[in-house]
Amino acid sequence: MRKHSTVLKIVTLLMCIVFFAPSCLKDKLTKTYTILTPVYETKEKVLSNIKSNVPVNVSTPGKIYLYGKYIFLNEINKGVHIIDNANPSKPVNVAFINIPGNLDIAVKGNILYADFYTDLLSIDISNPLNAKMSKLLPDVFPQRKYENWIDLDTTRIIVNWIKKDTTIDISQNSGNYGWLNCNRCLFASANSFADGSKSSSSVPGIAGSMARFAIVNDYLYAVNNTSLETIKISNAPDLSLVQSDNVGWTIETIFPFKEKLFIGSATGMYIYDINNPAAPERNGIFEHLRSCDPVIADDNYAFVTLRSGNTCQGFSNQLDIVDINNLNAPSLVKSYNLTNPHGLSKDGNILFICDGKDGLKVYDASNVNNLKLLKHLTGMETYDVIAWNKKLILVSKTGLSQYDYSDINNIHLVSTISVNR
Amino acid sequence: MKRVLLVLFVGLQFISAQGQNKFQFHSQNYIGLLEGSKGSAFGFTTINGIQHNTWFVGLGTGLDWYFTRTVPLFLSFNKDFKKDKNTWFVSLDAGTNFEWTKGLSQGEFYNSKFTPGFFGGSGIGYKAYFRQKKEAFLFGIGYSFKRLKEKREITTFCLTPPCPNIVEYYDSKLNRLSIRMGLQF
Repeated sequence: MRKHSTVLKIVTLLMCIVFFAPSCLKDKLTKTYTILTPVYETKEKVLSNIKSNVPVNVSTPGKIYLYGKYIFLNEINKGVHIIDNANPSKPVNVAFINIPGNLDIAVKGNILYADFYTDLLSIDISNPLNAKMSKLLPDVFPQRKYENWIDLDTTRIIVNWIKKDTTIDISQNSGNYGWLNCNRCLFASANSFADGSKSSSSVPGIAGSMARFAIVNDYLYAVNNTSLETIKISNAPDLSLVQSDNVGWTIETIFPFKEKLFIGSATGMYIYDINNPAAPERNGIFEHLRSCDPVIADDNYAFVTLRSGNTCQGFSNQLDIVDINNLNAPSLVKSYNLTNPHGLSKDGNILFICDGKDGLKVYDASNVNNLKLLKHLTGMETYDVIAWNKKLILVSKTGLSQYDYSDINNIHLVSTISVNR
Repeated sequence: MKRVLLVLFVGLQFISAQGQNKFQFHSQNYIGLLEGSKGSAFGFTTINGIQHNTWFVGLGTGLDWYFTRTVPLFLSFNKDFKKDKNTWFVSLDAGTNFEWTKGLSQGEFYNSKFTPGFFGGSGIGYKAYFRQKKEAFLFGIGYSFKRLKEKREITTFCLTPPCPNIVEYYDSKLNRLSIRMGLQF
């Protein structure tokens, strides 16, 4: 009896512990992240400094534009590097144009077109070492009004961000760690540009496939998240917005080919006719699963890379080849699985695809139903590429590299401008 | 890891065979509940080691589903209050734990890298032998702690790569009440 009593007491004690002890045990969970504080300058001061300055190291390379002997390389949200590429084996970083908020560039004649947060600039680069700002067209890119959740005003420009690590207690959060609930966490966005065919007076350069600017003759076409902006540049350096056409949601890239514009969005590829260049008209659309999709095209086919990711959502990582002989009803020819494709470029039958962390893949595309992998360059995270004149200009996480592909079986590195963070 | 466990197991068997009277190999296998401010979770533990008089020392591992699924690896010490009889005992565990989160918290849009953290605990238990006195029923209650550090890289909104990543560091120190029962062979 006494023994049973003891057991009962022990069981009672244990029950009390089981019920009450957990309330005494508190988990300690912390989250450390970086917050950003903007550094402002007056707009007047920033505009006065949009000119050629001393070259700076490449830190976060964005989009590329090839024009004559120069490569223009966007430094994300900072400006444009001017690289003298007269000797591709020894490219020289000769100047840097400070353009806060810059993501996209295009060049025609002696004018560099660049976005400047919500505005579009024309910059005289007749002497690239002495570039000068010419004109400003306001509010072309209204979606850039917000940067890292900060509402940009019209008098001040964000020229830099101060980073500071912060640790917070998240013990009370429900579930696992919770999600992105930090205002102004390290967060930035980017963009780019493209080019086109022959102009009456001067020839535009060559853009990468991630471009959001395209120049065809006397017009600059720029896509923002939802619309296609048509800007007349025949009276350079003057800029004149002639049409803003709503295209759809999540517009990403633009690629000009002959009298067509190929616009990549997260849900499909739009084809616009520019026989009337001042008023592009939609021809057809090729819809696909939700993914990011840079696009390039030739006479018969469009090459669309689909990739997954945070912005892109979706789960597709592939190359879609689309028959565009009937522009009003483009149709899928074949899909090829890839790892995480980004930009692409084509020279004749040779197709170059930046496959993210899986490097650069080179295909023989003479038969679109049976692409043959010719070369696979690994060990770099690639983003965008321009193949021109047997020279490949490649932007990767490690920098701007140039390859010689005159012998496709012996593609070799010519030079690299390394990222220096 | 498999090699280490194999060597340890063979070693323990050897010691056990060499000194049947002094050292005995035992395997303690528990299932139980882990209770804390993040709720309740299931846990499984197996500890294999040597009993010498009233002392037991062994190497333990298992699965711990509390908050983040982990695999602990630890040394365990037991002290029985009586020898070869039904008895109370105290236990002390110390070691590390590794994440095993694939399919649980790994996201499509971010990458996680975990750093193993300290794992430990202490408690009191009761050992009730079956008739043959070879096997025993075990019951235990005590405190359990595990720590994990995670570096999470999240791809940001960006239409043109390279997209900057948000990097977040998480540090979780988890305090739980452990209630477990099992069998000793």
